[in-house]
Amino acid sequence: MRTRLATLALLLLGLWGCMAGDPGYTRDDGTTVGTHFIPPSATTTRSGAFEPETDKLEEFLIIPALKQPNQNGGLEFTEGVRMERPRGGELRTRVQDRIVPLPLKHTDVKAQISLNIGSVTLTQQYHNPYATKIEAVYLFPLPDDAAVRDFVMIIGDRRIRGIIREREEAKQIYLEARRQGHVASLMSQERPNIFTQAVANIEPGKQIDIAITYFHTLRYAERTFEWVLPMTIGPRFGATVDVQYVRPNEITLNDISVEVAINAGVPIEEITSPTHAIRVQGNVVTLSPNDKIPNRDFVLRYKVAGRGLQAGLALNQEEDGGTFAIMVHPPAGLLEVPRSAREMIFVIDVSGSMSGRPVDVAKRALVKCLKRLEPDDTFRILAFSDRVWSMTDAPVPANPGNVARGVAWTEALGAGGGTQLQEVVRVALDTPVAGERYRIAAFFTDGYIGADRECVAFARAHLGGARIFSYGVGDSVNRYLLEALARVGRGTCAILTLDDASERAADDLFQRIEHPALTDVKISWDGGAVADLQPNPLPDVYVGRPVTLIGRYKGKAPARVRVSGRAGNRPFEAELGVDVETKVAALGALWARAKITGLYDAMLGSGDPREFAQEIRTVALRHGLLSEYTSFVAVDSLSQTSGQYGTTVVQPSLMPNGVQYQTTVERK
Amino acid sequence: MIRALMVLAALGLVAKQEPVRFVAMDVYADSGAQPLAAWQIELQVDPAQAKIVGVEGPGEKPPYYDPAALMGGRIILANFSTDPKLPSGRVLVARVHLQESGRPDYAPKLMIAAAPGGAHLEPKIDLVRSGGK
Repeated sequence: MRTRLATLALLLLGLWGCMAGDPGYTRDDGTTVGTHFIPPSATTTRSGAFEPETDKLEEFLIIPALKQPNQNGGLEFTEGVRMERPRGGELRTRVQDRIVPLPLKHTDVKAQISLNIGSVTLTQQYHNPYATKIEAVYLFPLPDDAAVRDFVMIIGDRRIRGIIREREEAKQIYLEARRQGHVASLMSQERPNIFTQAVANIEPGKQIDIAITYFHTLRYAERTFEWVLPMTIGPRFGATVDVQYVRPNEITLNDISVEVAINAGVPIEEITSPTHAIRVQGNVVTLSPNDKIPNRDFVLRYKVAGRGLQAGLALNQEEDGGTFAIMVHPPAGLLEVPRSAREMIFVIDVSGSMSGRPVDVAKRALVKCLKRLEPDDTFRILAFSDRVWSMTDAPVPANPGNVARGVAWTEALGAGGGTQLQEVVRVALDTPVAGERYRIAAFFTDGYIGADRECVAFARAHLGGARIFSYGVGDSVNRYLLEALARVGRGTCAILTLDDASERAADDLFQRIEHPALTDVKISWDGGAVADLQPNPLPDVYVGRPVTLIGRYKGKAPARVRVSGRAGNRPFEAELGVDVETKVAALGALWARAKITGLYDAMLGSGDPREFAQEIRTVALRHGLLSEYTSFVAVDSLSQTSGQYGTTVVQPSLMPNGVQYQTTVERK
Repeated sequence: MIRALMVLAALGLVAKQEPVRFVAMDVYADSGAQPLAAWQIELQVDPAQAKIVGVEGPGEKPPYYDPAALMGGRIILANFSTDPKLPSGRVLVARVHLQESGRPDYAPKLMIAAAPGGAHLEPKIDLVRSGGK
């Protein structure tokens, strides 16, 4: 029965792709590939009665008032009249030993991973502990490649699915519903990995949950998958999005629970987290209840047994064509191809946000890299905060004396000041390369800058023949910037959490660059046309690091696929067999998300962004995806509260673990 | 000019400005003795006068909407259930929340429906305004 219904549903609307939960590795007979799944739960409500602290509101609350939307469509806040200090939109504890509840009570995350695709349902529980109505507003992070395509507002046992609309239209609907007293919610994207949730007309003592579902792909290298859940936003220098932070002596009550069900497709050898305490039962991982403060990224790694995941192709066949994803592994022959002489440009961030442990970790990793240079390499070290320092005016040979000098210079670096990344990108990439060397720029940074997208566009425009490897240093780095620098720089990205061994980063980097990469990758098959392959441009494939390409095709699904490219000066070609019975419903959304990312990259380098903006809007609306030009809105037309919409309360974020409030937020 | 407006008003061609309001339309399906397991319905309405702002179901899983159709101004909804205890007769299948700015006429249109097991059904569809003015 289930199979026939599933087939019918596919015929109806292709709605499987809309469904929360299972990313959709199903066969034609309706069975699920691999081991069992945990059924998705749209929401988890915490037990226990909620008791409003209604007499506390005025004592602790700074009251902002929403004013007209700003130019880029975001919501702006003005300061209200009962402020204790002139800082807008902030709710906080004033007395150290007292805790004041905030609107966001709890976040529940349930993820299902099938092969290298994650389907994540994140439920935010908002409540009103005050005597008057409130509007809750929260800025929060998601993975920068998250394809957000489902949004449900939960009021008691009622569930209202939100609708994707053009951003401005959604906002106007929300503002009108809010004005009329309806319970309503609006989710918008501010930056590639920063989102705003607004929930209007929450009455005293009431709770409203928002459940969102997104798909994303997992990083895979050396037989190990990595799943990451960002939990807080780092303080960005020159940020256009104003994130409020909890102060060092303040406490918030909101916490997080996480459950991840893994279906790796092959046996799992080991499951670990370098960031959190976890409990593992079979293939289900939960965050330890003792480690539920959302102040750093949750990183989960699992190593698969045997030879790991082999090259393969996944499809989602539609009416005339479909979407495919292919994992391209580096050819074994790469190890035998001699490499060219290298020019290494090391760039280390010594701005205020790197103060303390982050800069120490970055310095240790850089020193390890220096010690692994070979005599025919040259190198240069650049450090930056408000300005750029250089150990030498030009790259120098990696002889023992110069390396020792570089180590001493690096170890003497301290941290402080702002973050002017674009200037150091210019210095690193604009100087001519000496001789026939292969230039590699390696960045060690937390990526805490506001103009991240602009910096990526700048790097893309100034790349020349260089490659960029980015190393994120910290427990809650700006992964968008680091991934995007590596993407446009055709390199790779690695994240060094503060508990990670810094040696691992150096080893990782040198393993990638020790041998030439597979370049000029092409995908083709007989009887069908491949189109719109993402990412665009296609990445190089490095030793130990397969890449996933995703694209559209016309006609029937292929039986065999050809992957070609060049390794050094040698041509490379391989054929892959295809399991045509596999249907991966999430692929459409993932392709659309990758397409939007590519359009953003291209838009920033273009003279006229309007055409790109329109195309992003069209792709996002057609696939029901959140983007910077589309938002989700949900209105409960049955509930109409009385009076004004009440006080807007902005939920402050926690400072990322290891980042100092004094050298970042307070310095502003 | 004034005379022309007066003539138009007299002819009823100048529409009275309707306030923007939020309403809910309940969609019912009556499949007789056969329980309804899967359905797809189009809610036909002038998109200039009514915008869908949410869709709610009777159960835990709200109906889905077709975002591509919505780009063209069409509201197409669908849902399915594998619950072994599905009700029969006239049942609420969806509550559509809308923002109205005129006095639109709604017409439901059945696109496809099936019983458990996939057998084709032709349920009767009707609408009831359940909220708003």
